[in-house]
This record gives sequence, structure tokens and C-alpha cells, in this order.
Amino acid sequence: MQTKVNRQLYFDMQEHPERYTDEQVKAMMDELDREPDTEQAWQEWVESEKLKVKSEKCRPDSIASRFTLHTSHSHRRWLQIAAIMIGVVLISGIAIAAIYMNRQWTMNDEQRMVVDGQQAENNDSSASPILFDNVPLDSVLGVVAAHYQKVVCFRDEAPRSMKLIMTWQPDAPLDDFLDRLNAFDGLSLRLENDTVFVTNEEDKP
Amino acid sequence: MEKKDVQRLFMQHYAKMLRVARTILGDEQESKDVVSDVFANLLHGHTVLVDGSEERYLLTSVRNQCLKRLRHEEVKQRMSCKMVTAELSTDMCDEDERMADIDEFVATHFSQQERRIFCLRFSDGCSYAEIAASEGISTVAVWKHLSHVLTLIRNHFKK
Repeated sequence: MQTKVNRQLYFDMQEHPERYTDEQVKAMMDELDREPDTEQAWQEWVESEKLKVKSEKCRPDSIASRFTLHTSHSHRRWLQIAAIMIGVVLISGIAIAAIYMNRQWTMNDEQRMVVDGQQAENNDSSASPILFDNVPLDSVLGVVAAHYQKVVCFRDEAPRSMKLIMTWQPDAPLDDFLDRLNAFDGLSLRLENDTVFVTNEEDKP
Repeated sequence: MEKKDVQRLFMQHYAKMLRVARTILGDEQESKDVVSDVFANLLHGHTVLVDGSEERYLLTSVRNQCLKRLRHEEVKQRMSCKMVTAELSTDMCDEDERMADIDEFVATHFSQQERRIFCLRFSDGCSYAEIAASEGISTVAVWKHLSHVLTLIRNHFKK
């Protein structure tokens, strides 16, 4: 009797041997012990391995990984150059902002910076509150950020020219100053690591 | 491993390996797949087999792969029935540990004769007739002993 190896039948024969005759069991054993054609199985295995290798080569992620391997060095180099350029631009920006502010404080009547008289008399400039009178946010942040050794990043252009009238206490925490700026309509400032991100928040309540 | 070495092992041990796989899985195609995978791992991996340990390694690999396969099927089935939610990842982690437990399970749950029969079938790759001759019992008796062992192992490792 010829019995094909079939899982359902096989498991059932194991779990309920009483349902099957000895002949059926022997037929199943013969099938389980049947000698395979090893030579043919080897050829089939070799073919299937070749197919696997081919399909592996055709996989998109495999192609992508090879591309990445070839391009990774030049890609990294460009990233390094870009990082250096960004650093140079940022430092230059801070320096220009500082010079610009310095000139504004001394020469511009409309955009004056007035040092509180009482504090000036005490000659304690480090703790003196500073009044920004009609000064663009761009410049205000240039000075404030330099004081706290932070970098400013304008994610939107609109707030850059926004003119403000407010005082700043240099010995107060930066967060306090940012909180006060955040009270302005349409303005959002957030400190992340060492960078102050400025965005235009139109829908701010 | 070199392809010529894999070929030598294939020619020597394929029949016994397939026999072990069929005995656990009860499915011809799946059994062939498992045996093929074991040889593919040898070809692409870094396993070095010491002379004299080859057969035992290959048969044990087939046995463990078959039990893993049955277990994964069981888990998948339970997942599809929505009885299990996030079991697969933890299953994978302790799978190897479970496989190491088989020998201990066999040693503690079966009679001496059943342990011998289990060993003859799964470690030595003997046929039912060879086991019957070795034990001095009928092939049907061998079948019954092995069926008992396999049913308990399957139920234990499906948990």
C-alpha cells in the first residue's frame, strides 16, 4: 500500500494509532524511510542556490547597498564640506551682527540702545538692563545669543525684521528672555541644544 | 565551507537528514526545504565541522530546524486567530534555549527504551527497520514508541 507523506494524516496516525491498521502504519513508515535520489536532490539544490544568488543580486536593497558602498566616501566628504561651510557662515553672521549692533548703539538715533542711567552710574555694565528701542529681532538676538554663547537660526524670514521695544537683563537666564519674546504675536523661539530656532507662528493664539 | 565539501556531506548524509525531517514534519516538501537550508547555511556560513562530528551536527541541525518551524507555524496560527498579540519577538529570543532543552526533556520524560529509540532515529538517522532490529521489537512497536515521544515533544515545544 502506498501512502504519501501528508502531515495531517501523519500526525493523526501518531496521535490515534488505534484508528489505523498495521498495514497503513507500515506503509507510512516505508514512505518516511524511502531512499531519495540523492544525486538528483544535489542538482536541484545547486540550481536553487544559483537562483537564490541571482534573486539576491536583483533585490533593490542589494543594489542600493552596493551603490551606497561606492558612493559613501564621496558622500561623506560632501557632508564634511557642507558642515564646514555652514559653520563659517554662522560665525560670520554672528560677527557681522555684533558689529552692526555696535554701530547701531552708538550712531543710530532711531534704533537707540539706552543703558539704564542708574546702573550706568554704578558702572556695573554686566548686570545693567539693556533697552532695545525699535531694534530688529535679527539684531536683538545677535547680541543676546552671543552673550549666552548660543547660535540663532531663523527658520522663517518674516520675524527677522520685526522691530522690538523691550529690555534685556544680561544676568537673567536666557529662557526668561525667550519666554518674553514668545509672548509676541506670531513669534516662536525655541532653544535646542545651543541653537535658538526662530519661526513665524501665524496661528499662535 | 567549500562547495566540494558541502557536496561530500550532501551525498553522505542527505538521506538520513531527510528521514529525520520527514519524521518530525510529516511533509515531503517542507522536509526538503529544511535539509536544503542546513546545507545552504554550511555553504554561506563559517561553520567548521570536525571529522566524526559531522553526522551528529547535521542531524541535530535538521531536528532543531524542524521543531522551530513547527513552533513558528503554531505561533503564526495563533496570531491569525488573534489569541496572541506580541509573542513572536520573544519567541525568537528564547528559541535556541528551547532547542537546548530537548535533550533534557527527553531524558526526564521518557523511558529508557524510548530514549534509545529517539536517539537511534534522530541522532543516528536509523530507519524504522534498523531500530526494530536493534531493539528486538516489531517496526509497528517502534512506530508507537516514536509516536508517543514525538507527540509529547511537539506539544511541549508548541507552548
